Amino acid sequence: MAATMIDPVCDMIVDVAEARDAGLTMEMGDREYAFCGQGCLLKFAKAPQSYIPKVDAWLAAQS
Amino acid sequence: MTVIEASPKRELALTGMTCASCVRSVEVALASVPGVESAEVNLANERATVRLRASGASGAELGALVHAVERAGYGALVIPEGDAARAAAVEDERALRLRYVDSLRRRLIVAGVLAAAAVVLSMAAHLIPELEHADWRVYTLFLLATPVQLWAGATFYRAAWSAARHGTTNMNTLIAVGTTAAYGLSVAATFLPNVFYANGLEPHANLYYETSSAIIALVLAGRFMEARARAHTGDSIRALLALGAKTARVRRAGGVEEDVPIDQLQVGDVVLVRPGETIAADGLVLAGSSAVDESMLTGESLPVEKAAGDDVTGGTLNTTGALRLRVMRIGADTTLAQIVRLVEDAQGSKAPIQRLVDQVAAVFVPIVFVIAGLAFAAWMLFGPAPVLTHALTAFVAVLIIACPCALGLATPTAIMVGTGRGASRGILIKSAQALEAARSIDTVAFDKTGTLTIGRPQVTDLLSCADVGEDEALRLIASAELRSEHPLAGAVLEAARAKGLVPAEPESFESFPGQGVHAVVEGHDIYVGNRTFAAAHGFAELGDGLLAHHETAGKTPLIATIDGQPLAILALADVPRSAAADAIRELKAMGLRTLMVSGDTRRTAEAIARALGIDEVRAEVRPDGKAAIVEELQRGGHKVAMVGDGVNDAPALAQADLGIAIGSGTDVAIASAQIVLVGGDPRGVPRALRLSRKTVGTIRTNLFWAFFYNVALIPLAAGALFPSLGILLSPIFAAGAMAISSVTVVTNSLRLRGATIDR
Repeated sequence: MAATMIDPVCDMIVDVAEARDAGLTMEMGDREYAFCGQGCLLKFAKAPQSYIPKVDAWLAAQS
Repeated sequence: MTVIEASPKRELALTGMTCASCVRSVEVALASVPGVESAEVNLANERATVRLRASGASGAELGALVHAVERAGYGALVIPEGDAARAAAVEDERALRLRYVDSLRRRLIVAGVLAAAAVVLSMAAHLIPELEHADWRVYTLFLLATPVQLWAGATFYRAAWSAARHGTTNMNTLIAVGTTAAYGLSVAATFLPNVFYANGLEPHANLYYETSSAIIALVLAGRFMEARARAHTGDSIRALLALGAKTARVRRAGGVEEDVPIDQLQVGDVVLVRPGETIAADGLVLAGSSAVDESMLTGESLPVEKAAGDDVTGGTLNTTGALRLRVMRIGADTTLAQIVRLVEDAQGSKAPIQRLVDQVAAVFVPIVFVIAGLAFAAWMLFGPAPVLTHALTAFVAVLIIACPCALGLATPTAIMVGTGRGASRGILIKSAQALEAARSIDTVAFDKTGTLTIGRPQVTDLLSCADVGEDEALRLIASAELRSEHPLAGAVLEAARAKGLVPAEPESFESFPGQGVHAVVEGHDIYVGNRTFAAAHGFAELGDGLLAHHETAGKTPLIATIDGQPLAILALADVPRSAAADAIRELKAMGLRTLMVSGDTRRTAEAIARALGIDEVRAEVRPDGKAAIVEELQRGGHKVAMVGDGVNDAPALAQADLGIAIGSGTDVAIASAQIVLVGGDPRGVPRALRLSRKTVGTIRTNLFWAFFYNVALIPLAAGALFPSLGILLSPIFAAGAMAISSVTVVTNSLRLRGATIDR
């Protein structure tokens, strides 16, 4: 899995392992979303579908 | 109002209270402590709530409260603020109560054995005439009765004495005076027989040792059984507290796992919940999926599916899968803690009827003394020989039988058990007043959105007009709506997700408030919006028939075009909660009138009401109009219950005779409602009403038995039936009857624990 990930809400690039240790990642489908903080995590949890395409696009751009 | 809220509150756990007049004694004792604004004592949960005048009570002041209670002849323990300390105090409180039960048990065993021996020995005198005048019998009786009177019965003296010092009397006074009269006369007959002979009396015919000791033994037996039975009335709270997990498995940085005691858990901790474990705190699911049994909070027996992004509640049971959570609320902030506090407050509150009972009990004891004195005088003047025996029997019997203990327990025990029963089914009754109000309700008014319906629109119909399939049309519309904040957009995205469709990120997006949205998705120009908006962007020949059909059914149409061509017509509607129709049917079967109040258009509201079978609809009501409708119904002589989701219905909930809020489980402390239904099942409404009816029914039977018992038996004890039927109640039977009446009342209340409220 990638070492960094885009925060789907605020677009910050986040270190996945650090976020996981801080309880700021969420596993949905086969993907682990990572967040900069609790605010973004909660926003995402309320409406994940509206943020997922952004991550799709970011991941596609990375590869 | 603000003054009351600002004044600090302290709670005390009490022991040794036995009746309604004890409640008064403790309240008076607490109120006399400097700095105390008011004190309220609940007999059933043995708690005192003290409001202090000055802000911030020092240790000395708390000590003064405990001291005041102890001086009044009872035991007390201050329950500290704060959660961890509170939990420790609950243990202390339990120990305090156990000590009280233990001390009662010891006294009861000694008094029981000695009293039984005394009864046998005095009965034997009737069978074996030689015993009658044997001096050793008299002294043995004295030796048997004295420890009972002075040690086992010491609690009565202590409590009666402290009541006397405060210028009051209570049931302990009755027992102390009654048994002392019997015991004292016997002691006089034993040691000063000459006084009796001088007055022409036979001293050995005036021995009442067995009477005094048997009364003390029986009263202790009643109190012992009552203390044990009463311990169960608080079971529901203890059961709720027991729901909380003791430890949680926390994932630390780097993936190390450790078990952490629940009180050291912090917001933001990552907790792993394995199958079969209790969820430790309120949290957000980060990973995994499972079915969670929330029945302990909501009463809903079907487990709820939880996956990443969902909220879970501490105290609920994880069933099949493993979950990883982020802790969101701990300690006093959790839903469980809020529920426990609500139930405790309700159990500590006094029903209006109880205030009347307390007042009656306060004047009861002096009146009983007058009656007993009159009976004594009447027997002395007009009674048959032996005059003193009869007079004393009547005097003691009246004092003993009149103890208002059953009266004091009738209401609070029923309320404790009833509210506890509700809490176990997701029905939080916030006060005793709510129970009384719920009983007389004849009309139930429902808010529509969020109460009878889910409160969120859902896509119910989809007609694709373009050359693409329905799924593709839905995917394109969802992509166009991806950035929209509108509730209808959320419903479209929800529908797409339910079908497993993944919307694409739009290349551009703009929103036209009140009309619709425009987005470029995968190179296509897509407009989604209302009828006018769609007509302006390529949907010229609108299917008027279809749109009219949707509108009649109370649905909101949403029309989409793609590159200037028709794409699809969607219909969205708020759908009824699955159990709403059942709830309405149950209420009608109970003979209640149902009414729906809604801010929606008449057509939409009527469509929902038809589907649910509601009698009457008030549509197009402005938010502030709901309270006016409730008021109008009340002016028409109806007792109205208003059911709402607690946020926008606050004025109507407050106006109604009974406000019932449907809570989502995380915001249980809804201020304006008197009953909160956790979990949002509308069937909670008929259940709550049934529970109230049963609880108030129990209170009434309890009060009937308690009053009936006192009113019917006092004349009997005074000897009112003696002239006609020759019946004079023995004081021993009076003591037995009194014990039975208290135990009957408590047992009757405990029956509510198993009451069915589903039909």
